[in-house]
Amino acid sequence: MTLERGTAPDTVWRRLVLIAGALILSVALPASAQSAVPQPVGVKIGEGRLHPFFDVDTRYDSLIGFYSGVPGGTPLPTSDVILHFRPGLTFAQDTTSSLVNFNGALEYLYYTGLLFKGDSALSRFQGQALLNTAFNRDGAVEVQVSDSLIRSDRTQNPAVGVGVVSLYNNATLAVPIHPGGRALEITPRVSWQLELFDPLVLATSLPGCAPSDITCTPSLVNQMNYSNLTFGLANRWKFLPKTAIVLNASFDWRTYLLNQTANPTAMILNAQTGIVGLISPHISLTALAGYGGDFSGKLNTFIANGEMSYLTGNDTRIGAGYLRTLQPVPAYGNFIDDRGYVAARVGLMGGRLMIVGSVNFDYLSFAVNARNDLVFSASLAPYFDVASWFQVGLGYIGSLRTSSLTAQSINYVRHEALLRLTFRY
Amino acid sequence: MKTWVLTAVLTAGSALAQTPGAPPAEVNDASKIPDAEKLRVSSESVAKMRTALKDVLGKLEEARNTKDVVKLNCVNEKLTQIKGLLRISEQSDVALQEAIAKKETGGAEHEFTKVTIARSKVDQLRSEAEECIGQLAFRTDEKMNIEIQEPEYLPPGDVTQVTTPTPIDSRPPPASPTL
Repeated sequence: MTLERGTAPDTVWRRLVLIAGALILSVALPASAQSAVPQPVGVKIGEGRLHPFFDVDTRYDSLIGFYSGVPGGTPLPTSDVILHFRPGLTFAQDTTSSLVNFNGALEYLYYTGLLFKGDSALSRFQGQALLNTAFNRDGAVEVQVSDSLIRSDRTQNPAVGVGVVSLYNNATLAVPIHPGGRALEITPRVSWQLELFDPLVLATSLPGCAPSDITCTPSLVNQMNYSNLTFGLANRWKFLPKTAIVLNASFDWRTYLLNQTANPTAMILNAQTGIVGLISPHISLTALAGYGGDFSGKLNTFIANGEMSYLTGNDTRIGAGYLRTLQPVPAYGNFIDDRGYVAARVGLMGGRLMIVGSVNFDYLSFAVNARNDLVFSASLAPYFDVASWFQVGLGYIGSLRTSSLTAQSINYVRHEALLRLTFRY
Repeated sequence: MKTWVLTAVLTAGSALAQTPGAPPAEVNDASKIPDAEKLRVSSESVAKMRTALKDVLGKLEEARNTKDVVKLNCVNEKLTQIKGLLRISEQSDVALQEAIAKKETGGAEHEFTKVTIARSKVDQLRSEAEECIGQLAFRTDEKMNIEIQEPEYLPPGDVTQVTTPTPIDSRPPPASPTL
């Protein structure tokens, strides 16, 4: 049967619209009536619950890479549709005395080849295992142990100028000490990070990249493998129930595993103090300032974080701020990140519909202007709890990056749009 | 204020003026105490009450400096009662000495009992005066449990945690002449 508008089949269109409307209402009305986020059942284990889940993403990526398709050709931006299959488990146990949170997932990225034939070589496995625990939470001395193991094409290394697969692990031990009524809290912390790099696509040289540059030559990216030891001390005094004075300090000791000459060692001290918390029932302020210094690179600078947020209800927070940090980085020793940002998280229909968005503008200065990058990113992601076992999400991520490094793969514009279906128990 | 003094005095007086048919325990105790000891305890009690009066006068000054009318009124109320009890005790102390000199055992015991009850009452009033200022809020021990009540209109959760800045979304695309 052929459907044409303006004739008798118009009734069919009307019926389709009515059915679609009824479906939307059937989902939306109970949500607004119940005004509660449905929770998955899970499997009870001890005092916690285990929730298996399965995500399926259909993602359009306007820049899966720069390829020419012919040997010796000039690589051009290419796009494709990628399917992400992500089975995983979460476990949550939250009592007054202990906390155990686990989130583990294995992810397979399937490059469909719908828009660019022959990109199946990029199909790969990724994954993550995140564990957060806290013991003796109601005592004067609490112990927190956490670990994050992530294999992904997202890296903690902003100097990387070409696609990589990063294997990153971060293990942390913290001992919050909060005597009496918990108005005062002192938290010594030690953490160890290890990040190993592999090229996403093996190539020996690329346009705009010096053959010996370890940041953008795919065959050399593993030269940036690093180990980072961080010692921290966080002090917080709540002089009002939701407002505190903080004094935080951390020391990063960065070493490199394979190439110590191309990667300057960094010993970075960051210390900052200020006020964090509510200044009115709905306005939150973060005003921190302090010192950042690299004793290896003999760099001294100021660091700061200023943010103003509007909070209402359980789920809504809209904020804007400025952040300046000094961090260790491969190939350059250290870099300063000046970031302006706006972040919003809005909950509607009793939290069933969440809208999360952010706009970030980062100016990166590597080893005092040896290289400068400008990174702009914007994201918007609404997601809706249809039922306790089913969630639907949409997302858009736009990013733009320009760099004084002329490599093609670090100067780009990228758009990603996704539809995510999450099934959970 | 006079009403308070009167009330305090009458309260103490009513306790002291109970009939021998139902003698208070203090009177029985007083009968067992030697006269010399009665004189020593009585004068010592009056001295302690004077010290308490000085302390509470200090508290009054402290309350006045805070410019808190509620605290000031609270301390002032205790001070007035202490003054009244001290006056009664001083009179009873003199009367006690006279009664002992005249060998009036009953009268001596009566006056002694008035002084001891007044001292007990003054000690209590001094503690209450300290509470007026709020000093007891800082006296903690291992059994103390502090419960912080947060106004319900404040947003939930701990908003005083300094969150670790999220790293830059660093995900450069791969590049290669061929795949």
